[in-house]
Amino acid sequence: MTEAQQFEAFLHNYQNMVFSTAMRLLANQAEAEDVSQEVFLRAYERFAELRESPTAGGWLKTVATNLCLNHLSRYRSRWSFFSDMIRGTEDDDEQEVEFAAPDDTHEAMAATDRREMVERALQSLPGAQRVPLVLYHLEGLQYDEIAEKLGVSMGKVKTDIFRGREALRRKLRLKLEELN
Amino acid sequence: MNPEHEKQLEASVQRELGALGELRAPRGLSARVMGIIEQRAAVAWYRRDWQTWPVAWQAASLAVLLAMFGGLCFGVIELSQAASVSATGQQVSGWVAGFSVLWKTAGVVMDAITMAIQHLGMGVIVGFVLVVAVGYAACFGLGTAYVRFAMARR
Repeated sequence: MTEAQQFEAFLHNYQNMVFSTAMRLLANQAEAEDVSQEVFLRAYERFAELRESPTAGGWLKTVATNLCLNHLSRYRSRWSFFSDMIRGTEDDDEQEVEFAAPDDTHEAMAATDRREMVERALQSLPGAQRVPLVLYHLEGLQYDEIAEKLGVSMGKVKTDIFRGREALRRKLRLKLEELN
Repeated sequence: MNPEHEKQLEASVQRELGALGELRAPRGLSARVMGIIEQRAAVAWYRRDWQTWPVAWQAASLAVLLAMFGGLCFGVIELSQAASVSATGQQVSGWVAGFSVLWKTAGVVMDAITMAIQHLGMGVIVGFVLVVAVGYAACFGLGTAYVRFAMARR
């Protein structure tokens, strides 16, 4: 097996993970593809180290995350991205959390459909809410790490994540009501 | 914000997002990456990015660049301290007789520049450098604004 073939196998193993990370952070297929491509080109330069490394997946994920954040801060207007932009009305009322659909809906809806719905709802969130939400819930970063990566205060990260969760809850509840 | 509500919300979001699987990468991604790798491999090393050059060539090119920069700095310092460039020029033109006329002309031009620098004073020179810097910054700022505007319209 040549080195190119080995790298192609490596690429096939990790391409879904890298693309998922990029897609969830960028919410744009073309940009996510470009970032994924760049991640693997960098990986090729270090393939000698990564080939046998048990932490190759972590390395790829970190590079993908950093490239996405660079891309967002470089190519999109930072002031609107990291602003307190709020879409729709803010509801601070403390309602009962209703993420789970009613049982009958739950049965009717296949798990894959539900995941697709969550995926779409996540990608429709504004970047200022989606990015910290993804970093916290999917990448497993802590508030202070997210604040450092995004170059904003920890208070802002907490607020954005809270707003993101609320927005996601509203979107999903709306979708479930539409289905009923 | 009710802490209990926040906790419930966090747990619910974690459950929903944690259940998400990996997205399927586009089919063409692998072919694109492998194509670029093949293209890069076909390019001669000296036409690739400097970072990918062999270490010996990186070191050699860095040494040459440093020597050129040092020579330039030394030349500027010598020029600012020289009483007359043409005197130095005559010495050099003796070595290269064929270029003496050309060298004399260059010497006169350099004398004129040296004299102008000496007579203009430091304030004017600093002002000139500032004008160039402000002009460059303005071009850079306009370029950045244009790119942001263009990207915002996409």
